[in-house]
Amino acid sequence: MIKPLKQLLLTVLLVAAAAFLSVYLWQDQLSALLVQHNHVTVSQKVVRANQHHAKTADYRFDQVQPLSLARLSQAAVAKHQVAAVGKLVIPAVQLNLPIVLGVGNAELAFAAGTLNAHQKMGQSNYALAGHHMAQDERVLFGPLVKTTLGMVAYVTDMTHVYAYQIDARRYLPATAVSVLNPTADPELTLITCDDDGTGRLMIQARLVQTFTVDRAPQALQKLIAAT
Amino acid sequence: MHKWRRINQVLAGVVLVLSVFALGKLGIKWWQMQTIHPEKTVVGAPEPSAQAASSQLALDGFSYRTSVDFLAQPTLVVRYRLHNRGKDAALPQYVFDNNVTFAQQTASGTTSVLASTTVAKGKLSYLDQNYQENGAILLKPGQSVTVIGTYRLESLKRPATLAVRGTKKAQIAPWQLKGVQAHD
Repeated sequence: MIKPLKQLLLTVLLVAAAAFLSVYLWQDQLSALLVQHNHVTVSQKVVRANQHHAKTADYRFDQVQPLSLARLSQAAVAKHQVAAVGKLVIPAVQLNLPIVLGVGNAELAFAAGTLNAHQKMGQSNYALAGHHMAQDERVLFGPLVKTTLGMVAYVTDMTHVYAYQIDARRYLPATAVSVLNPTADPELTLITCDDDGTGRLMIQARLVQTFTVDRAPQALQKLIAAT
Repeated sequence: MHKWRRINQVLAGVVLVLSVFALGKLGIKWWQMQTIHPEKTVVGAPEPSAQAASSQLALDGFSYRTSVDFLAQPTLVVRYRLHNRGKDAALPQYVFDNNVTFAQQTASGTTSVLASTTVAKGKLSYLDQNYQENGAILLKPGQSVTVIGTYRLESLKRPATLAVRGTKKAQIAPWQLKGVQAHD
């Protein structure tokens, strides 16, 4: 009776060790797969329904945790709870992300999050935060490392499109929160964390054009409609 | 019973193989951090989309050194000279960043366009600090100025590429550059 128990215990231990090592070996690929295959739905109807949630969202950027496989799995389960309010598209670097209210861990797992309850697209400083997965720079805010000055970033609430032109890219300490302050001119501020959370890459852009989605070029309309 | 033992032996073999791969992964990561990789040049760096380039503004006198930024990350210190031959005033750093990009391979093998950063306190000499401030002072028509721009490197051990308006002009080997001295 004792021998089968020993064998069973050994089997459980070996399976656990194999599972742990497998996750360690393929965690980067698994994380990227989770991000790529979990889509947040954005439509005019969804945006209209979510706009009144702006005041109740979580805007504590200092509480954001680095992305891990465990957090991504939790976020995938809670995905339906995030409040999508638009999309961010930078065609030149293939960035196409939903914008959701707040910067909770579930929100930032699959989208860009708004940093302030009162911010509005096309007005003052519209600030968004996003994760940067060093192991896969094609997802979330990863493509921002490829941006250059002059590139155009589009922000849309699915009715209007706001075109911003990038005019600054710099690394900042995490304490430099003044870049999120309201501005006299309409600006877009994109912020992504370093791996250890002590520094941030900041992209700033100024509003150059506003138009409705149906007046946008076909290629941009396609990108906005893509999931 | 014998079958079960056999299953455990196979599982133990799988764990052993996975452990070897995990150790190998750790070793490769460590090796990549330690070794200089001159072959890791950038591919597919995006072209700047700005049309700000001009024959009115001439850039020359490039020289490079290295330092560390406020987060102790490796930093490329670029000195250049800008001459305004046009009729309008220009902001040197803005003109430079609109026309010149530095790119480098990331640890994951993709391309990163280097973004500007702030060099750690006490690293730059007073003269260099003045050159850095020149980047934000309007350059009047006919004037020339020497400017220092600082860009965070992905690594000191991989080459960086200098491109002017999307055309590769030079390859920089950061591991061969001198570090900045506060008492230059």
